[in-house]
Amino acid sequence: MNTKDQNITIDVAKEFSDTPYGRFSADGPFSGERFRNELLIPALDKYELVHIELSGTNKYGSSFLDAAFSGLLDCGFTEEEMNRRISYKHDLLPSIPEAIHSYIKKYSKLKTDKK
Amino acid sequence: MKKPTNNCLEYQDITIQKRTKRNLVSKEKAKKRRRNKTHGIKPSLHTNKIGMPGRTSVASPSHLQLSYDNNDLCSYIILWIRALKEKAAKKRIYIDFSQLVECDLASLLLLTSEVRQIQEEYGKDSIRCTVTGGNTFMTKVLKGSGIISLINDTKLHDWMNGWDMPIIHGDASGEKDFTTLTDYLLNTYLPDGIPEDERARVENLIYKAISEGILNVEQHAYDGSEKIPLDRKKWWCATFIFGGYFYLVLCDRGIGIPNHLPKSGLWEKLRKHIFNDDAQMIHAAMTLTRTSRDSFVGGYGTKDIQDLVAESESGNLLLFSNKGVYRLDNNDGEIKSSSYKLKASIDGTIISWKLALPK
Repeated sequence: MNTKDQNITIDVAKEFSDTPYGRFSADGPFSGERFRNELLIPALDKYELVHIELSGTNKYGSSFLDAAFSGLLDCGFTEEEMNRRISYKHDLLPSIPEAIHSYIKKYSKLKTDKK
Repeated sequence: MKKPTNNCLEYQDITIQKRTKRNLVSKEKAKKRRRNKTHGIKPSLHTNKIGMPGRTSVASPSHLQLSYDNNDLCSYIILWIRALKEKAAKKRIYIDFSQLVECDLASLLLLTSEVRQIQEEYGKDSIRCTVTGGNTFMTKVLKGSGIISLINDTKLHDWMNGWDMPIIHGDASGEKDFTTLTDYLLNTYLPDGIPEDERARVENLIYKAISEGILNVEQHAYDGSEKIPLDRKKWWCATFIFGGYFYLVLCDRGIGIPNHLPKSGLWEKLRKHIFNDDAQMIHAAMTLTRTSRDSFVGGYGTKDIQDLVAESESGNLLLFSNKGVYRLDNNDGEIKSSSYKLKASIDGTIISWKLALPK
């Protein structure tokens, strides 16, 4: 039986960094890997729906976004589950949520093709 | 002494006139020959007439440009820059920039990295320069980039305070600060009163390009069999905004993309049986990994550096690595790539992006 709480919002700029960059922890203190492992996965373990608030900063690199979100596909999550459980919003840059969806889709396809 | 007759004087006069004319024609022919060799570019002159005593004076070519369309010019500029170290090894040198009329960021970065290497190897006093008497605009560009202060070892003041087009450098050690440069560009080049969402799009593009570009250099350019300390993994960067485009140029003196391709498997087969030169290897590394997630096969995150162009509305990528040049163009969504082999190696990699500013 699923006992998860209903939902939670993670504000990237406030709770993580307003200048996130890099793919792996070795790239710097605010990498996508660190965000995924320290904030995103624990939130997904505890809550059914996770909303990612991206609006606090405009400084996002593609490596960070790719590792933070499509990297979940390497941690046992599926594209379908991620689309159902995670939502994203940036007030000024709708291209950022679009880019995240595109990274997830591309990596999911790559993984399927490799099988 | 016998007084010369009028006939004799007339003969001497005619002879002098003929000799002068002959000399002028011969000088003009020599000049033409030199210019043909360098496609109209005034070559560098090596003379001791100007400059500082005790130093070999080296005049810069009239054009310092690593152009994609002109292999001869490109190779000429690379050889001129690389020859500085050989000269500095023998005697202290003095670069005269007075005949410089045009330059680009890629060649300025290559020159800056070479100057740094000369200073590290032979001491800061081993190289000096002058811009006196030169083109006013070029003087402003050279001073504004900080290269004059670097060469003359004068105090390197804060680049945010008065340099128009700063060349900054860093290495892989320590925490990264991409924000200072991003904010500097936004505050320097973007007009006041720009709509908030447009500013956000430009800010995102600049930060993404700078952070992805520099991280790629630090992670992959110097990777090799031998371990290199992080503070030796150096890069140089120049950037500005002009005419609706954001320009970013990065230079490293690493092992280059062709030398970084894996020595086993597919790449070794390609190297042995299909590709003969650096240009073909770079082109293959770029095109074969364009769709792959794990694209660090070329020593660079080859996909990441191309994505910036692909995601831009229009723009291009120009990549020089050792003896190869690769170009990727995005003309309103239509992506085209090409490459060619250089006659001289830059011993490193220069990547130049031109990206349309989002509206």
